[in-house]
Amino acid sequence: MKQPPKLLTILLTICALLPAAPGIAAPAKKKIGFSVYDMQYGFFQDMEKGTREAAEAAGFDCVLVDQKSSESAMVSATQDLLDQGISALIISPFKPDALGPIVDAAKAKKIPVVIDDIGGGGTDYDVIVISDNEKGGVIAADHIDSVLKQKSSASKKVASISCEPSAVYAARRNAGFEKHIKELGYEVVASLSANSKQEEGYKVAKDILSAHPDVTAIFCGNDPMAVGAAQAVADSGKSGVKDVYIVGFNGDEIALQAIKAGQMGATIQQVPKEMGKMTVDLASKLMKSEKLEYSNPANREVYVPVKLITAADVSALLK
Amino acid sequence: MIEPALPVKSANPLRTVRPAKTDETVNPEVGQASRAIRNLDWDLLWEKFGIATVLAFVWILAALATPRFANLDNLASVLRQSAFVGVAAVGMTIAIIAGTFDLSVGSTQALSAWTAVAIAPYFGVLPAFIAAVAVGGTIGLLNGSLVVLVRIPAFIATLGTMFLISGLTFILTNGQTARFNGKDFVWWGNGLIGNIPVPFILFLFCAAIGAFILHRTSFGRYVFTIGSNAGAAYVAGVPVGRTILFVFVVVGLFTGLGAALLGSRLYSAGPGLEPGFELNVIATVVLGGTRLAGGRGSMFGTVAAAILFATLSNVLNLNHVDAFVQRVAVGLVLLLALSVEGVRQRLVERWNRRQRPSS
Repeated sequence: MKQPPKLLTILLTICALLPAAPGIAAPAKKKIGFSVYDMQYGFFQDMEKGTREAAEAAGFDCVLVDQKSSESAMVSATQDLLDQGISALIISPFKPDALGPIVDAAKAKKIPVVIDDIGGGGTDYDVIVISDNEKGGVIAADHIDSVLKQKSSASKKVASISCEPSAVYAARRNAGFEKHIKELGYEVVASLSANSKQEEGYKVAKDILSAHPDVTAIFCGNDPMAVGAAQAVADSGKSGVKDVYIVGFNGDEIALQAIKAGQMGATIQQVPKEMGKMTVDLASKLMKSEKLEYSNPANREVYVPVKLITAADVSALLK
Repeated sequence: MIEPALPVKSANPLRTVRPAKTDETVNPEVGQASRAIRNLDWDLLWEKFGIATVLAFVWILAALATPRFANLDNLASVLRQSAFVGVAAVGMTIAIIAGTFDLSVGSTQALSAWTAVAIAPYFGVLPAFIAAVAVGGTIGLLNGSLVVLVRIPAFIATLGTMFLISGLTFILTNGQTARFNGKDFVWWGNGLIGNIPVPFILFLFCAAIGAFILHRTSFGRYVFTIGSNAGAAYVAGVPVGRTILFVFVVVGLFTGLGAALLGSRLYSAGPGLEPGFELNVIATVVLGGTRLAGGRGSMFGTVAAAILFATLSNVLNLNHVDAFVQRVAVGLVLLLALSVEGVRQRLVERWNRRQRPSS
């Protein structure tokens, strides 16, 4: 190029002038930004619904971006939210480890950050909303106790299958279960991890059943593992309800189907809609600089109650 | 003779690799002005500046339609975002001009980024970046060797290394994300100089290096020659094997640098960093006007296309467009751009046929 082409010059001029273009006057309503993990999943669709309805009811605009299960998209899309003048950020992070740049950028703009589930990645967020996982484990223990009491089963042996050790919140489910079931006079004969996966849940349950044929209940830290365990029980010619009572955690569709089909006993349902509602309540308090009441002040956690789902409830949930 | 302000056919170095069109007969009776217009290479003009023009229009439309677009913070975000795909696209542009391509850049990015983030806390920023670039270069060397020495087609070879490296990264990292938020490290992905994001400045710098390699070195000439016709290049004495090997190394080096920047941007890097990254990179290069068949292409177009993709995603986010609709939009833009390209090429061919008397 011997001489700068005119097009390039024009382009550069336009680029330079663009920032000067007059912006449209700011809307009267305050905006709450919600950056969602991935709208492909029913759990997050419910969470988004709860968030949006609560935000609109409280007189806010709710602006959504989708991270599409990518940490790079998580950071760039959330940055897009922060750049458009939101007053509070709610985020269910795909990768809590990549929350650093988001929280730093929000703090620089003095925007409060409310994390919805998954994890805080050790960042300086304002509050994190999670299911009451430990209570969920306790509810499961109470339920198993009441079911087994109705049967004249001699054994008081139960087992516990947990998610991967790095899933700290999920680990509380099994911790809560194991602590309470021991208080109720049971023996936890096995406490193993199946890495949140269905096929590993199957394998671990098989091992448990061959080592302890008289085990009467298994609590699993999530539903895929519970469904896997139920298959293992069925493969050994037993019932996941009558012989070895299986309880999962989450309220996933596969577990609801398995409960309906009589393959497993119950699940502890997380209520993402309520979690979404809670994040908006907390965000609006933070916007007014009100003090928050934490369930666990050390990690700025707020818990949302979970629900027991048995065969009596599933048909309503599956519609 | 008046010095032409715009590229004319005779002064076009790219055309040396396509000799068929250079010997066009010019009617001496046609006046100076119309000859100048006739001699204007619209073909090359579009190739070089077409996508940049589209980008300019998109920016104007976006600024008019989306209130928050023309806001300094937001524009900085767009430019920053263009850099992470863009740096890798610089290398990929050279590969595609050479008539080959690399599907393993996504896996390379994950491993390089993880390396950078894992090393930075212990050895500092510079060693982290060097290590990431070195990892990229090594994978590039592996790819190049497979293609040149073992003679596996590039598609299969790089598909193989894509799986290989991705699996290896999961094993090496044990599925865990590396995390580091040291100020001097994250500045490279997040910092601003004035109002311009640091990674964007580095992206432009990389593109300038890429353009220099392509247009000012014998390696660059070989790349164009091989991309136009590898067989003829070989007969003409171009070191085809060595050049292709080096092309893959260059792709790896740029990918490694882009990966380190992304790791810095995210304060972290996981083993499955960005699903579909390789296709984003290839889409960017092709949207930028580089022919997938090889032989022609421009770094300027790649830069414009990277910014265009980042703009598109930003504008769709600002307008709260559903994520699934966003995918449809990206697909449509790509198809539309390439359709315009295809139709334009057919028109040019027909025009040339009519212009040249069959004497």
